[in-house]
Amino acid sequence: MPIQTKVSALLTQLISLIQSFSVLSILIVNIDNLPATRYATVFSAVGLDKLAYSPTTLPLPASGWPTMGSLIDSGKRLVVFMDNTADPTTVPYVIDGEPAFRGNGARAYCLIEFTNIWETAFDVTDPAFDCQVNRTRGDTSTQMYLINHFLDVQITSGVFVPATSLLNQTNAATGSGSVGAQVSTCLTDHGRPPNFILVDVGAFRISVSSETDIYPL
Amino acid sequence: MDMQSSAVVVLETSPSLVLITPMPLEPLVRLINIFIFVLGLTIHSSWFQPGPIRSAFQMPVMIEADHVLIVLRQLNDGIRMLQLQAHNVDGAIKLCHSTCVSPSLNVLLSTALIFIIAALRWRYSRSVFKNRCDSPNPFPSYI
Repeated sequence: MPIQTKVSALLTQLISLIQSFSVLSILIVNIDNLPATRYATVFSAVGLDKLAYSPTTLPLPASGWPTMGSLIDSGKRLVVFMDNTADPTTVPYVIDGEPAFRGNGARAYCLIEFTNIWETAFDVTDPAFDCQVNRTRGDTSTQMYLINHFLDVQITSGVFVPATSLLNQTNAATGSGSVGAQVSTCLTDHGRPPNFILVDVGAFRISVSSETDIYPL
Repeated sequence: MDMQSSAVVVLETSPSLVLITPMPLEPLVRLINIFIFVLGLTIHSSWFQPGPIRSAFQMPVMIEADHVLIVLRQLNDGIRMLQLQAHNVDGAIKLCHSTCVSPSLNVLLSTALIFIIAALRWRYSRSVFKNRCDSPNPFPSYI
């Protein structure tokens, strides 16, 4: 087999591996402030605690995360965050910088979101999305961050629905009100791109199908 | 708070969530639960990390739901983080939207997690051994 063919085959396989979702994250929004033990029970019952990544130190700065390769090699291909809406005085497991709960052997694998990630505002109704820090419980200069890039319409006080008529604009890669525009704003403001982009209606890909500068993680 | 009261979109309505009202029989509920999750649920506010672009299949937008693509499609499309809105429903942890309108129609957290494990394992083996990323829905093979 010619060397070019071998290289080509290897590259094809490599690209395929990269494109697969080798690592997945979930963010649990604990709306009813259930005790962490309740979640730990479910995780253990289905065996997900064994797949979940457990950092040795917390909080974990953006620069402290392992590479995708090392996560895959270690077999820990799930990252678990929990949104912290709980009152730490009444829900003692929610401690800044501490895991929300631990698996067998006290291996911590559920990370409190806001000590590790900061967020921009959500339920934004202005298509000129800014990139200001809206919620955090840590050092935003070192935390990962997430932008809430979904446009809402407020139909009555406190009631927001997705601005679906503007989806083509909101979920576009470039242009006014687009994902790309907000990321540019973020780069200007913070010098690094967001780690996560929250969108409504995952048809985003349709709008950006011609883009080549978006890579899988 | 309050990611919940505000981040949540009012209408709890991925298309298949309005299809059926199951009988209160546990095995049936569980079966329907799996069905809804795998074939219909579009987990509220899936988190998107830029990923590969796939074919242009799209379910029709029926109303202002957060998502119109099922979870599996979203994963295929490059979604790398899913947000699970967890509620306490009569002592069980279930995933539903701003409110659990019809508890029996909402997905148990455990169902979602089982699916996630299966998806992770499936994608990993495929990527290494089959060298493709965009095959048909694999759901029948592991449920």
